[in-house]
Order: sequence, then C-alpha cells, then structure tokens
Amino acid sequence: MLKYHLSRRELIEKCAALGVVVTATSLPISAIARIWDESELRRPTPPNDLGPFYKKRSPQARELRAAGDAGLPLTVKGRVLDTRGEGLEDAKVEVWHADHFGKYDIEGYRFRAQIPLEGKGAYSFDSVMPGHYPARVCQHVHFLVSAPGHKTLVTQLYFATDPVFEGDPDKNFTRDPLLTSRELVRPVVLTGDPKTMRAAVNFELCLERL
Amino acid sequence: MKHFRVSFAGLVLAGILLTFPFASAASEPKLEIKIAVNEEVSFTAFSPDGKIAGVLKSNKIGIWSLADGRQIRMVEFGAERPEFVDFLDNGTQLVVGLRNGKIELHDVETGKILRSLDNGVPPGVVRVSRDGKLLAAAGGDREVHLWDLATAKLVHQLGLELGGAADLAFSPDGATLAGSSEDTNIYVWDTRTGVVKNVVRELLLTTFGLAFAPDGKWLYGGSGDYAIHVIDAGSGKIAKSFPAQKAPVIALAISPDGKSVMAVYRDANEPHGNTPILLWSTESGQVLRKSDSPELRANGGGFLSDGRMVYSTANGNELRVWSLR
Repeated sequence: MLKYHLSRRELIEKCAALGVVVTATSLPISAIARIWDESELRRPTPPNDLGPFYKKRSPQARELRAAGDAGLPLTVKGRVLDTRGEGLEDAKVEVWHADHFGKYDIEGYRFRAQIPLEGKGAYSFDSVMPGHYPARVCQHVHFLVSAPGHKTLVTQLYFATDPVFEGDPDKNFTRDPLLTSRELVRPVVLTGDPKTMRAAVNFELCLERL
Repeated sequence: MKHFRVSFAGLVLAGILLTFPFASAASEPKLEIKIAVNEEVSFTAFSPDGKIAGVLKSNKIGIWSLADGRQIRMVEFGAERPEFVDFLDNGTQLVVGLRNGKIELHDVETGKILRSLDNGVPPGVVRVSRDGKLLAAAGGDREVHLWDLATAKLVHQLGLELGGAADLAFSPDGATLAGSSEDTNIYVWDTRTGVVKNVVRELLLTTFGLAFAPDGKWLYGGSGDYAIHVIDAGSGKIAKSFPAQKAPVIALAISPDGKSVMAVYRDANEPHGNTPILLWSTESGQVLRKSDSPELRANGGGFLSDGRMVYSTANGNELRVWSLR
C-alpha cells in the first residue's frame, strides 16, 4: 500500500520550493499550506479520562463475550485513522469495560483486550453492552489507542441508547460530568427479534500527529 | 468527581466482608469520641496533635479537638466544594483543595487564609513537604503541579504518561516526590529539577495510596491489586510485597516511627461498601491489628503523635472517632 510520509502542508511547501506548484495569490506559501492542510483535516477523537480500572497486559482478543454472559450482545467496529483519513495499520487498540452488572474484573481480564487490527486500521470486537458502574452515570467502554508518530488517544465510547440520556443525548449528555464531548456518544443499531437482539456501534478513532 | 479517587483526606469509603489470614490480629476498636454535626461528613483528616477536620455536605469544614470534642473552627466555602483537606505543620495549618481549582492554606487558630494558589484544575490530592516549602497538587489531568509556597509560584509541571494522579507523597527531606497514576505507573521525581528519577512500571493496576518511610528510602504503595508493595525509591524496584487481601487498597498511611502501615481496603465495584482497616508491621509484614466489621465505613484516618491509629465514621448526625491499639 502506498504510504504518505509528508503531511499535505509539507507536500505543498516542498512543491513550491521545487517550483512544481505556483500560486496566484498574495498569501505566503506557508499560509496557503496551512489553509489547504486544515481544509483536509479530520478532527481528532476527543480524549476522555483513563479512569482507575485500567489494567496492563490484557490479552489479544476480538471475542470478549463468552457463552452464557449476561447482557445485550454488542459489536463495536471502526477504523483507526490519522487526521488525513489514512488508516493507521500499525495502531494498537486496547479496550476495557464493566460487565452487564456494572462490575469490572479486577482479578482477571474479562471484558479487557487488545484488539488485533484487520487491515487499513480497521478493528472490531464482540462483547456485551456494559452495565452502569455505581459511581459513574453512563455506560461506557474505555479505549487506549496508540500508533507510531501519533499522540496516544485515551477516550471512552458512550451509547445513545443509554437510559440516562432519555432518548436525547444532545440535550442530556452532560448528565455525566465525565462525559465532556457529545461526539463520544455514538448511535446504536439494534438488529434481530427480541430473543436474538444485538447492538452494533461504529466508533472511528482519529489520532493526531505528533 | 472521579469515580475512584481516594486518599485519607478524600475517602468516600465502603466495602465487602473480607476474610483475612491473620484472625488473631482482630481487635476491638475503641470509640474515642462522638461529635454532633447534624449533617453528613464526606471525609476527614487528622492532625498528629489531636484535631480532626471534617468536610461537611454544606461545603463547610469543621475542626474539632479530639480530646474533648470542642469545635475549634467552622470554615465556610460558599458554593465551592472542598475536594481535599489535610493538616500541616503539626495541626497549626489546614490545606484545602476546592473544586474551582483553588488551593488555600488556613491558620487553624485564627482562621486567616495564609496562602491561596490557583491550581487551574480541581486538586483531588494535595501534599505539602515536611519543611512546608513545597506543595504538590494533582487533579484529573495528566499533570502534577509543584508549587513553591514561599513565593506562591508554580515551579514544575510534572507529566504523567496516560492518566490522572491517584496519590502523591513527598520524601521526608522534600527532595523527592512520588506520584501514582491511573496508568498504573508510579513516578519518582527530583523536586529541585523536576526530572523523573525513575518510574515503577511493574504494577498492573493503579496504586491508590502512597507513603514514604521516615528514612526516605522506602516507598509504600497500596495497590489496586489488593497488596501493599515496598519500593526502593532510589531504584524504583519493588523489594517486597505484603500479602494480597480480597479488595484493593484505597488509602495508606505510615506511622511516625515507621514501624507500621495503616491500609484501608474496599471492593472496587462497591464504592459504598464497607472498608476493612489493617495495621501492618513494616518489619515483619504481618498484620498487627484489624478492624473489619461489615458495618465499617470509614471516611478518614491516620496516626496521632502518641502512636494511636485513628479513623472516623459518620452517620449523618454524629462524627465518631475510633482508635485501634
């Protein structure tokens, strides 16, 4: 796969220096580069607290849900991208969350995993919808995402179906004082009949360059 | 508020019934004093000379004498919520961290504010060096702020890699500051240069309580992995660990003579459960005393200069102070 080593800003500055691009404005090339660069940028995923339940050395797994686990089956998928929308193939994605009853596994690694990437920065994992931890307001999944040359992202995924939002996360997302960005509340797609219902969420993870 | 931020001065405590391996160490706590408060006391701090400060639900801090329960002072903070309180200078001063990011030093006797710092972020934990020259404060962000108290200037912003600080501890000579983070590392800084001297990376879970031994050589860490680890502060290596119990250590204090460590435990998934307290011998690593009643919900504790280990409980009407001898 073709990889771009220069940022768009660096590219236009280099093109101008080599004479392969000319401009017809009075703006300096650095300003043009900045405008062009910023027009192409995706916004980095907002950060959120790491929290006190992070545990090092979680195992590699895509299947966090075991047979018999209580709770609504949940699939989370997305891509790890840079701010130009390029997939970060060498990224590392680590997740952890409470079980259906709102309890974290402290002694072991249930509902904790490093997610192997599937190519072009794509990731997915199966789990259950987390319950409400007693000292937190919202259901959430913790993410720790890193990639060479990029700022490590610590964030949390929240669910638009969380009863706390009463169906209106735009209005009610601030009910959790730790939830500082509406962007982190993602739509939930429910499929299946009442006996086989499962939830799916797409969560794109955009990392800022160093 | 962080959902698991704890220190002796910031306990919102609870727990599960634990089975400890040292049943012979069970001891009956002695009720030292009952103080009428007529409202909930969120957390407390003790001074070695026998005072208790309690943060009330109404954003006041009451200060009482443990000898006779006499109210020494009631400090009001209006709309600002105290997030942290502790005594300094053997009980003559009080340091308070407020939700608006301010840190205030109060003279206990006169009530005068001696110093006010704008820390920016609400300080969940504040520590002052024994000589009173340095103050370290940390909130939910990834920085520890180190202040020079004489000039009220921020001298260093000490970075944490991934998470907020859980606890801080100065070495007795003030030359070293240790800070534990939610990223599970413990950082040891040179307070003069702000440079990291070493990082303890071996632990898998957050260390919620930190305390230096009086010799400054050993650092005690009460961990989310249910154990107390004894760390060589010079090398950052874990030298030994006291046996793991059945819940995380959420707060830790060391006796003035360095011979014992008080540890408070609580089930991580039961933020309002009970809080067994164990007193460990630093020499033998054995439990000397314990208080593990299922009803125990301590909201602060520490050591008095006479060697008593004390802790407090509250029921909405009374603040009760207990000792374990």
